[in-house]
Amino acid sequence: MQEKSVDYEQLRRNAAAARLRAFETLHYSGGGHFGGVLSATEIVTVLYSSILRIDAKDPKWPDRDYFLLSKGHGAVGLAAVLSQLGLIDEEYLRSYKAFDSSLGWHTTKKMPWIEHPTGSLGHGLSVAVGIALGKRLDHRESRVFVLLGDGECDEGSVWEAAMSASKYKLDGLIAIVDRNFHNLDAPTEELMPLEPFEDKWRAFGWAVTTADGHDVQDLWNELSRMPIEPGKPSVLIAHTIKGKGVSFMENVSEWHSNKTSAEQFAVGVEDLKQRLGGD
Amino acid sequence: MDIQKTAESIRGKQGREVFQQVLVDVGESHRDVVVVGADSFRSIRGLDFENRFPERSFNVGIAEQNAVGIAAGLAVSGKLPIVLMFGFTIARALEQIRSSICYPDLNVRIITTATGLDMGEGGVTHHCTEDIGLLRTIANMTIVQPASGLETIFATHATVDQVCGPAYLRLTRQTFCEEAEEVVEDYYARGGEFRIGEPVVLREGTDIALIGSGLTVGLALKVADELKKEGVDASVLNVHTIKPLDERLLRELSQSIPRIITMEDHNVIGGLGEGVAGVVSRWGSARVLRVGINDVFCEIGKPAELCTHHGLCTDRVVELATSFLGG
Repeated sequence: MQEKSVDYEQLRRNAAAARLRAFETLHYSGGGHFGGVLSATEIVTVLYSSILRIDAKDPKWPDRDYFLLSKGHGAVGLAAVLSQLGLIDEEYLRSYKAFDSSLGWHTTKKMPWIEHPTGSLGHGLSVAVGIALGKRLDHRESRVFVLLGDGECDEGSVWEAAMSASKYKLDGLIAIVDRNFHNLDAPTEELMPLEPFEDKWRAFGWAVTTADGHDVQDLWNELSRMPIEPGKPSVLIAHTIKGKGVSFMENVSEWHSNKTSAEQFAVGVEDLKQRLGGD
Repeated sequence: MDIQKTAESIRGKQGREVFQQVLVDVGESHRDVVVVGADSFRSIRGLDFENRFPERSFNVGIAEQNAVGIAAGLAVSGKLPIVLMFGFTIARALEQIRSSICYPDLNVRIITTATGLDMGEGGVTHHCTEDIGLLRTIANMTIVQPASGLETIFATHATVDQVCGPAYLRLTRQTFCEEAEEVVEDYYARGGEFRIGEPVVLREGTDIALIGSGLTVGLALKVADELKKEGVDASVLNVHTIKPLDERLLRELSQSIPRIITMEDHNVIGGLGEGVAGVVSRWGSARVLRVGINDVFCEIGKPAELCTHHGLCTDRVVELATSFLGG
């Protein structure tokens, strides 16, 4: 449940610990989507700690807020946060990529807390619009949060969904874009420029705000005032660093998906442990 | 329902015209049914539903991927969404159908018209001769296609009520031939029921089995009439459920009848014929001839002209059947 007073230090510590868990899981399992997992850690931590109205004991509580990880390649990062917050068992991370596991590169329909499986990009926002419409028909208070990658916004279907969300005045729909400025092949502005990004969302009828996606206080301030404007869907463009926290990964497209050597792992763990006590 | 009276009231109507009223009936009886369209309410005949239930109708513009994605979300929220689409746009939204509806096994119904060669004069971009092939290969999907106006009513209700998970209902904007209307009506008038996955044997014969679905059931019946004049005793099957196919029935058929001809307004690759041949090759000794669009694009023409040109006409199939029986 949303709290009136928030312990930012605790949020920071939880995010740092979740990031280390995700990094270790990725390394020990032979690699994966480091870049986009590490960039989204604070966003997911703040959502599940203090923004989403959920019942820790009942993931299917009908009046819950919904969360969709449209950038499905952040699955292991989400799992790391959920385990850090005690919403799933820590052991669950060990199942990453194992045979018949519900935790792989991308979210699956069997993964705990997952409302809808994702992975191929550009699906999640439409699904979120559908959930928001259904909840409105049932006069439920549920809000729907959806986390998109910035590169994902190359997909035309994202903008089809964006148009429909404003047509239906879905102020219970909140999109967050992990704006880490990197696609798989190259930086976003080189590959397929998204800027002026905020203007695009505004032109599609959305209320827009921004935050430092690694500053938990800034994230909380913005996310706790959603919706920004009655009658409009909201988008938070969270400025992040791809590969955040691991010195040699930061802002390097090659670390979108890759594997770490023993030496690189040692450096990464050292980098991430420094942050465990807070900034 | 008074079968005869209902059949009379819809005789000569296009499949979609019949569907128009059924959709309203479904809306009346199912409060959880919502309809999503992509600028398709007028053409797929959803306007009556929209007028009756505006709050349960969502027209998202010419954006099929979004329409399907929204339907997935509506299903996640507990609704029973029906997506109205032009048949040829199935390919446009295929990945959403696969990954956002079929994989999570969501209760979504996709209903199309403008299927097969319905839009003959519209040209290749508006022809729809690959949809069954595309959707058959996706796990969890059920595929239904009615053979008459009356069966369109039953098929729509059954697709809504009898399927758990995703389903595709392939309707038409053509009218059904009189023979199909009468023979199919007779089956239901005698107490026959529409059950998903259970084909209907319309005629029993021992020399050859003629298998149709949708509009080609009428063709199969006409071919059977002609063959009868030549002393050939043909079975006619209405395979209204293309997926799942009734393996048991096809197995028995293929062990007792030496020749099978399938007919479809679809590419012979990927459609009904390949489905039937797949079952028969496992169990039977029968040989299977697949009649349909022979892996080409069909260009411009009225549906009947195109069908004739591509061999989906009585004379041509009778010829093929005769030589198939002799060979």
